[in-house]
Amino acid sequence: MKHTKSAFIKSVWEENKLEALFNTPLIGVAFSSKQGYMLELNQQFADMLGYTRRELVGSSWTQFSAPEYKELTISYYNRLLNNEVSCFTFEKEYICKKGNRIWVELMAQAKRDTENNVEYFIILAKNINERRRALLNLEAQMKYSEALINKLKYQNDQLKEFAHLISHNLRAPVGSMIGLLELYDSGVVDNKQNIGVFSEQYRNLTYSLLDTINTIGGALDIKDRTEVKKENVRFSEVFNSVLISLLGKAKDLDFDLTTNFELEEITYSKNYMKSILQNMLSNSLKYRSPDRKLKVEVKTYSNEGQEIMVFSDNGLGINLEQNSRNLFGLHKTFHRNKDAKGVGLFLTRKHIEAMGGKIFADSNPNYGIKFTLIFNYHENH
Amino acid sequence: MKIIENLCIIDDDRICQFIIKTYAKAKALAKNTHIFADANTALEYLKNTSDNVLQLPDVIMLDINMPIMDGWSFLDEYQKLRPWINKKIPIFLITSSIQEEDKQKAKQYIDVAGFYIKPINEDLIMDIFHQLPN
Repeated sequence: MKHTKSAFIKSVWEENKLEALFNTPLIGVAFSSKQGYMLELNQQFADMLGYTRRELVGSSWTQFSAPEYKELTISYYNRLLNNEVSCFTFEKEYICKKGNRIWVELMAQAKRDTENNVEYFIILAKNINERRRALLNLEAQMKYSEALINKLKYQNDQLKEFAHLISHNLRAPVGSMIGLLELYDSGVVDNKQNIGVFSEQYRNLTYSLLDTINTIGGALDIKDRTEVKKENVRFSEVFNSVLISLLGKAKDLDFDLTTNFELEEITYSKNYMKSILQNMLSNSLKYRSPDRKLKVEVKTYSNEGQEIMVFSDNGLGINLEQNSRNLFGLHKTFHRNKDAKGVGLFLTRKHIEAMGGKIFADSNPNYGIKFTLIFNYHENH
Repeated sequence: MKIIENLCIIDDDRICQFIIKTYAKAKALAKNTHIFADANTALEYLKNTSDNVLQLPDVIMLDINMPIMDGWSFLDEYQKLRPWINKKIPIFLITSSIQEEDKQKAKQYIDVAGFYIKPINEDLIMDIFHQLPN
């Protein structure tokens, strides 16, 4: 007797426990047939979707599961059916009665009979919409921060370079002007000839200072890639227009030109590309070797997602061992050539960097110079 | 202050050359002034006169920001050359750079006896000459 009573109490207690578990608002509970029809579900499951329990019982899971997860869902259930896994959990979206979507975390398990056949599925569904939304917000924010950091880094580099330009390229001529004035005031410049030299130097300084200020102004006008208009740029088209603008309409070139635009076009600023090619080509023309006929070779290709141009010539070249640290700086001229103002490579680098690229040089004074331009360097690094 | 034999100026800026040269002449500071517009030529000169104490400079005034070879590269090359040079030559950097990092960098070279910022004036030149050993 005693035993029976306690068994009865125990079974009531068991029943109560199960009912309490089923009625919990903490998580959605559902039972589904092998074919995917809802056999029973708790209030929380129905509330989560905005249906009544009655509306959902007998319906297929496809009624409220977002269609793009259909195949994924089937593959999970097939694994349960085939006994490859005993349970699974994954996240997907449900569509509520009102049409809005919610993110849920699903856990499912197959209930098997004594012969190990699947009787039905037990499904637990937790609404993780808030968590998911917070995560998406966080991701978006991180992406935004990363872009912001990159932009700030770029601008910081610009400022550093600008400080260098002020220190060297602007301060130097002003320093010379003051030096000359103090020399004049000190009275040690006395004879007429010296005063003639003095005033000529003063004039040259003033003009070159203006030149430098204009160049720096031009460099500051180069906008970064997020602000510049990009379009499809065909290398052959831009290169030909640069050739014509540099050489006039002369049909016979006085140098050997080989072009191979394997990569035919890229998305870039047309103006920048024009300026880059113009500077590269005019450099080659300016620094040709008197000992050999000038050969210029331009090729483009893509390699592992990088868009590359190699621009080479057999001109005077540069001794890179001595110059590598400032080849692309302003007013760094490497030849005792009168036209050499050192602006070309400086502006070329500014254009390329502004668009997220990088330029490298490889040279030997005996063979010429080779520039490698990677237009989308920073997308890959 | 004694008159030195050889003053060596390495600066691509013709005006700075002119200013130093004019002061040196007016104040009779040096018997000979050697001017090099690029550091390579100066190095060549030092190599060729390395055992000739009479021709080697008594002081070098060196610019930093120069084309072809800058002042730092010159100092690097000079360090390699120094064991073969038969004289202790103080090198004074005279630069238009106001960047602190340049000043710090200069301290890493034991050959650098001083760091001066342009504009070059009479005080600057005289200060250098007062530091030279008698």
